[in-house]
Amino acid sequence: MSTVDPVDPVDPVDPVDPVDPVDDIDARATAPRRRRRWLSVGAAVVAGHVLLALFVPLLPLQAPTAQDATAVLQGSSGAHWLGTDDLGRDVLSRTLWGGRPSIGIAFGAVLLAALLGVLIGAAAALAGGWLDDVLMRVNDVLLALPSLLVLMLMASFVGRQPVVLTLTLAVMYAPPIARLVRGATLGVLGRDFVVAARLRGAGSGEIVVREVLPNIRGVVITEVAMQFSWILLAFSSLSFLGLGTTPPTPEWGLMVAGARTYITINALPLVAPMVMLASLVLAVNSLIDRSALGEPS
Amino acid sequence: MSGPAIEVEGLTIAPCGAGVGGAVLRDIGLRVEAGTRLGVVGESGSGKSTLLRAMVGNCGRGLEVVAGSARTAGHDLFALPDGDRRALLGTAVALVPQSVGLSLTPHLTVEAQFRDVGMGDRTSELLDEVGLRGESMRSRYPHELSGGEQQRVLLALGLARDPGVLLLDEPTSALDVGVADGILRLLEQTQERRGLTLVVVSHDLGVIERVATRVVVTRSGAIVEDESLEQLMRSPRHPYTRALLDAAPSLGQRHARRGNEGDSIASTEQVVRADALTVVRTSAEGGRARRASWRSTTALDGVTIEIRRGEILGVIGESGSGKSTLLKTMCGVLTPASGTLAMSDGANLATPLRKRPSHLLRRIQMVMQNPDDSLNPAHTVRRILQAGTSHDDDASAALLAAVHLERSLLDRRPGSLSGGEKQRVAIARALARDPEVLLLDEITSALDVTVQAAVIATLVELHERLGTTMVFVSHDLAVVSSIADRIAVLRNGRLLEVADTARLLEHPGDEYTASLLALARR
Repeated sequence: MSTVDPVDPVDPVDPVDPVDPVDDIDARATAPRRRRRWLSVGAAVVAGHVLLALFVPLLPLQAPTAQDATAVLQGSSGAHWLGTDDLGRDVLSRTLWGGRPSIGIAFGAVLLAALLGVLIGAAAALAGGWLDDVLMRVNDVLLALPSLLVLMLMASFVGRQPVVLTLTLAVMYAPPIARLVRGATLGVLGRDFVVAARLRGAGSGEIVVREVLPNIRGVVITEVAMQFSWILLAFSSLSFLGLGTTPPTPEWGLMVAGARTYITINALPLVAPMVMLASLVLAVNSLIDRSALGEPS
Repeated sequence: MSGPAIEVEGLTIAPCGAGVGGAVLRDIGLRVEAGTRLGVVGESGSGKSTLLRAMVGNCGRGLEVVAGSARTAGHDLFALPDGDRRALLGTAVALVPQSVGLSLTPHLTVEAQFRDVGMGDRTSELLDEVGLRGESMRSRYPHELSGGEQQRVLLALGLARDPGVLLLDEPTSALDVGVADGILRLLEQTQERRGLTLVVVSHDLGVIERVATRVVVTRSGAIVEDESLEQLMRSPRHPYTRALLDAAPSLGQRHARRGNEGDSIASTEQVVRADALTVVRTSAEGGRARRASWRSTTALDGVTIEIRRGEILGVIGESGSGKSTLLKTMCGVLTPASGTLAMSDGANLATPLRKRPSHLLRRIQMVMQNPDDSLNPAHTVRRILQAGTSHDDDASAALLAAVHLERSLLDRRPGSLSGGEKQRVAIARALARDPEVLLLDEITSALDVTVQAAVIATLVELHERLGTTMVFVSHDLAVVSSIADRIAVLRNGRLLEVADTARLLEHPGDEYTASLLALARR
């Protein structure tokens, strides 16, 4: 009966599925060059901000809190490149120092928020059932609260210490990350390679870390970076409202709040911190555009 | 209509800007006379779908026509302005797309889909023509239709505006044999009644054999053979065509390295035994559903079966028959509602996956249907093979060698492997645990026919060398019967019969088995 060999490997090497030509084109022709330039600009600006925040004490600047009653609201000059504010403080120095609290707190808060979000989202997806329900309903409640209001309440009643603000920000900005991680994790958990991992005896933690996270990295990074911008703006808003950093510490939101009264006399103390804040947020967002591309297809 | 319905001359299509070098189709010349039936066969990536699209003047996003022309129903499609070309679609030439589940707009009823092509008032009539009861179908949504019904609706939509040329892309690829048979018969009848020019693209020579009178074989974007059906079947000229013909096993043809069933059965010693095994599945798999509206179905219904040490047990059945459920229950993804499932030494297989001790996990490993889904795209082959084992690179390389893959693959990721290579990696991963029982769930159904043959050959070789007990699940009776010692037939969750392969082929013990055999022999 077995006279004919149904297996005649004329072609022992499997023909490689050609990459879908459509995807190939898109990847090759249009995007990369432009995106790469954006990456470099965005990365450079973000890196500049971070380096500045770290090393500003080493720069030969005037003390950001030094007042000079004889030179208030001056325009740009050799002694004060960006002029002075209403108390005669050097705007350039204050602007460069002013990123430290914002960036520090925003980085801390966003890292914590990411950690919380991934933990909660992955736990909800993995556990399912009542735990999923409880976690996600709590999540919904947090999402429904106006975060700035909560921040103001915390600042007024608990205190304005950086720790309090960082923790509050982290809790308030974790829910969108948790929700996204839960959804993305559910999608991956349904795939066969997760079953394969279970068949080799992998536990839930190992499955999240090794099988799920590498596959949802792109969306999570994107979401986290987006939350970074929001946190930065929320913190600056809080300072602007007088509930974040305390004067005379230089901080962008606080500087804007102080300078807006004198905008008709000298706009520089107002514009400089705004440009810094806007450039950081824009740069982070341009990095986001790029981050999802690092994902394995 | 007289003269050629389709005339393709020197057509070369390539990715935009890539030039002739990277062409997807090269220098295609093809004439299809009106009222004839042409079949286009080839493997994935051979350009057959691109050719079909070119016949409606659409070369696909990111592709461009480098040279040549395509005339359908007398119009030079690529030269026509977009508006004029669109006016011809559906009236002169209609394309019935592949992927049944994705081709009907999900939120529109069947009738609304006909209204979209301006034929709402003829809905019932058209549905009747494709063998559906039009009145009862028209108000349904796509998700309320079975795969076969969806394919018929798509066909009716294609026919709605009386085109002279009908193009079909893989009309039966996702359907059970019985359903596919019905569709193919319908195609034949419709073609004859309407005098259509029919072009059918498929990777399955069996389908082409049924509907076409002339066959074109494509490979790497070129036509390697263009013959009448009889000529092609009798004496294929191109070696690739011959390989295609040889690779598709026909019923009763035994794999060369498998002895006649019976003498190759190592023993009658049991490895796994299921007694009155019943498995209930809820509509949302994996127990995530927690709403009151669960739909639960009895996926396995009192199945009693033994798996013998060292055998290849074939399991056959159509979709919904419970064959995958059987495998998933054995490896613990699903748990039985009642009945027993145990290994011969008493290890209880009714234990869910998460609660199985690791020594039990190791003993039963599974290779899944779709290698795109079963290999983590973020991991390298090294990581895939070594996770959860104490293997070093040499051990992994030995595994790869066992499935005929190079050591250099260790650093690659699944995305850069072909379908066959991916499935081989999945087999190697299962073997890495040195299992007693290897469960194979439709492992060749996502592969091209020549690749399928090569993977099966590897499997048979491994069985010979390692003596691993294998359970081979497939919907393809020809493939199963070429390698299995015994075959179990499942239908609607019930085990209809299990018998030695030769006996089952000659004296099917059940009418359903007999009908499967009849379909496979066609």
